[in-house]
This record gives sequence, structure tokens and C-alpha cells, in this order.
Amino acid sequence: MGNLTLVIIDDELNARQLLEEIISESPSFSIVASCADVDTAFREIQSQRPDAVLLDIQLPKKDGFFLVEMMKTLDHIPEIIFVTAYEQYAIRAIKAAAFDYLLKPVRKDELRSSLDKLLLKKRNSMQRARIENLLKGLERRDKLRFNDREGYHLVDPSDILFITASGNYCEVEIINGKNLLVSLNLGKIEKSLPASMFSRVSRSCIINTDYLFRIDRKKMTCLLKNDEIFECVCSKSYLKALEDKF
Amino acid sequence: MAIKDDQGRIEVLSWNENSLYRFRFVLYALIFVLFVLFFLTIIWIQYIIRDRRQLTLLRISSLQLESIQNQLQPHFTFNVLNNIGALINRGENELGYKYLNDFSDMLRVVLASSGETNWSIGNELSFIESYLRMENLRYTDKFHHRISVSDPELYSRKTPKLMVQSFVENSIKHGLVHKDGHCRLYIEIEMQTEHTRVVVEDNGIGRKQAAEISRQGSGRGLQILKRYINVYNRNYRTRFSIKITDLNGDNGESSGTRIEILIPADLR
Repeated sequence: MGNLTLVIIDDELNARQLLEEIISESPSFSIVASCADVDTAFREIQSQRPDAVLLDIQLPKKDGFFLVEMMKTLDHIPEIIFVTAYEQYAIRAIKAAAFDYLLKPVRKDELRSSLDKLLLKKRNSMQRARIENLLKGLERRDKLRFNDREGYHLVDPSDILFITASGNYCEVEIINGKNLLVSLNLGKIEKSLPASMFSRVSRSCIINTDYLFRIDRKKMTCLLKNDEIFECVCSKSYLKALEDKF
Repeated sequence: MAIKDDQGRIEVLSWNENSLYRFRFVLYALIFVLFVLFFLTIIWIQYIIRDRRQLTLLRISSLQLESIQNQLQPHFTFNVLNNIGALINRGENELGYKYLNDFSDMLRVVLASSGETNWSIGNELSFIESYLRMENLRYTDKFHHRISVSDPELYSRKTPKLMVQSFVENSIKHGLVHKDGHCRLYIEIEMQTEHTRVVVEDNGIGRKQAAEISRQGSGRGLQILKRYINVYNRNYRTRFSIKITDLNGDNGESSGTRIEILIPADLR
């Protein structure tokens, strides 16, 4: 898992070194730049894109709040932890949407727990981003296009209950009681359907398993339920494949 | 007294001179004197009220000055402690211990002298030396200073506590910290018959640029000090004076700030 990258901004060398020393004791954090003034820091933040900045407020020429203003223009805004000697700026710092506000002399455990919180936040958001990506991939089901003589229908696969073949045509049963007669054979339609959602239950029938609620082995039928109940005839050889799904 | 009778003739009954008539000029003089006395009394009462208000003001402003003198700036204090912490953490314990001693001395001096508004120039200068040592710890020997005292007798003359120091602090905070490169600070103490003359000169960025950088003006300490001086000057013959000069280099650019302070020599 990725490390947390940090930029330190403080005009006092000792103060910078102290932070560097405390932070370097933990392998999860890496300092990508350590700067004494706002302009240098801004350049580093632009090029290094750190996860967070440890920022003093009283700085020569431009102060810490100035840097916060400058960072608002970036597309990647790092988290801000203010590290300052006196709480006179605490309210303003909080208003500037600081992640945390630490007082000097810096307490090691406070600094560490603040950084740990940040790391957790980063990992959570990475995890979330991955899950979201995954879900997006799963849910990415393009609408199906069914031509007829006049034009075509666009149907969301999850709205299809089942499809039955009748000769060169197929009947597509859609929720809300509609059905379409399509001039395609079942095999072709099956290829365009998301495999995770649809199953073939007989040579002439494909069902949407999201609506399946009962399989009757004796009568060899499966029942689908939406607003009403539909019965489809199954065949033994396809049923096995269906059962593997559940 | 004259009376008209029924036939319309006027009859004189009697005529008496008012016995006070002869003293009329004395009376006029008396009334005049009373008026003058009355106004004098009013002026006198006003004067007493004003005087008392002045004394109260002087008392209030010297108390305010005292309260500000009896503390070190929190921002400065915690930054110094953070620096000492950094030295300890790095294992430079000897150095850390030395600075801890220096800082303790500063604290002790400020606390031990609480209750006095004024102390000796000698105390002031040794405090300034400690203060500059701490600032040089914070800013890795950025500031170079020279102190010159024209007469050893000056060490025992009095100054309001931390007055010169607050100007030195101002020079550093608003002038020198923002400057890249060599930072110089001169402090000159000179003997005059009625005054002690103190000059604090820096080669910082100058007041104009400092005002552009700093969102806050001069600190609360200096404001209180100025108010105290104003009230003091209304009450004593020998007065304080503060003159600030913006220094300009040959090219007309700002090359620093000079502050000239005259402290009454009879300050106790």
C-alpha cells in the first residue's frame, strides 16, 4: 500500500529537522520536501503532489494562510496540518479546512496519531476508489438495441425478464407487461447479454436470473416474478449449468 | 417721596439719601471680586479634576505597561521551547541544556522584576543579549548585532522595562526576518544631560514593505508603550521622545529602519 507523502513548511531549521526526525521514525511516511518559505513550498507542492503539508503559520514574506489560498488553485489539494507555536490562529486554521492543528513544542504522539489518521483516510479513500471502480465495471451494462421494421428499441438488460425463441424471431418479455418481437435468433441475443445476469434454461428460452425464484424439477419449469409470475419451460441439460450459478 | 394730590399738584413729602449710596464703588468692587473668585474656583476645580484624571491615566497606563512587561510573548516562548526540544531530540543535549539555562534566565528576570515599571539599562541590555541569542537559535545565526555604550555610567540609568527590547523585537519580526542574506542590528546608547539616547538600527526590509507583508500592525506591547509615553509626557517636564527614520540606500531603495529613543535621565 502506498506511503503518505509530506511537505514540511517552517522558517526555522530546527523546527523542520524535528518534524523530519519524528516522521522518519515511521516507514509509512515519506517527506518529499522541506521548505522555509511559501513560494518554495508552493513549487514543491505543484511538482511533488504530496498527500499532506505540515504548515507553520507565521512565515517570512507570505504566511501559512497565504499558501492555503494559493493551493486552492491546484487540482490536487493536499491535506493541511498546521504546526504552530500559539493557538491565536486556531479558529482561522479550522476555517481554512485544516485536517489538524498541532501546537509547538510538538508532541510526538500527537503528530503520529494525526499522521496515522491521515494514512487511514488515504487508504480508505483508495479502497473506496477501487471498490467503486470494480462496481462500475460490474454495472457497466450497455443498453441492448433491438431493431424492428420501423426503427429500434433500446432496452436495459436488467429490465428483461426472459426471452423466448419462435422460429426466426424472438420474443423479449420486459417488465411492466411489455414485450417485443425481434428478428434475431436467440443465440445472437445471448451473446449480447451480460452473462452474469442471464441464463439459458432451454433451447428456446433465456431467463434473467435476478427475477428467478423457483425451479420445479418435476414439472421442469422455472418461475420468474416481477409484478406477475411467469412460467418458463426448462430442459435438464441447461438446468445443471443454471444450478452452478447459485 | 413725591405723591400726587387730588388737585394734581405734586407734593414732596420727604427725601432721604440711601446710606449705602456712599459705598457704592466699594460694593461694585466687592461684587467684581466675588465674580472673579467664583470663576477662579471653577477653574481650580477643573484643574484638580483634570490632574486627578491625568494621575489615574498615568497609573492605568503604567499598570498596563507592567502587565505586558511581565510576560514573554507566547509565540516567541513556545518557538524557543520547540527549538530546545529539537536539540534534545537530536541528541545535542549539551547545547539544549545551555539554551534551556539561557531561556530560564530570561523568564526569571521578567518574573523577578514584576512590580517595577523601570529597571536599569544594564538589565535591559543583558536581556536583549539573551533575547537575540534565542532568536539566533531559532533562525540559525541569521542576525548579527553590535551594542555600543558610550559611558559606563549609563548602565545604571533607568529605562522602562523591555522598552528598547520591544523595538529590537520589532526590528527582527517586521524587518529582518523577511530579509534574505546578511541581517545587521546596531544598538547604541549615548549619554546626554537630560536624556539617555538609544538608537536601534536595522538593515531590514523597511516599514513600507513590512506593512505590505504583515496583516497586523505593530504589536499590543508597542501600543501600550506609546500610550504610556503620551501620558508620561503630559505630566513631567523631561519628556520621552521616539523618532522613526526610514533609511534609504544610494539607489533610493529602502535599506532599513532607525529608531531613536530619548529616555528622561531623571527616570526613577
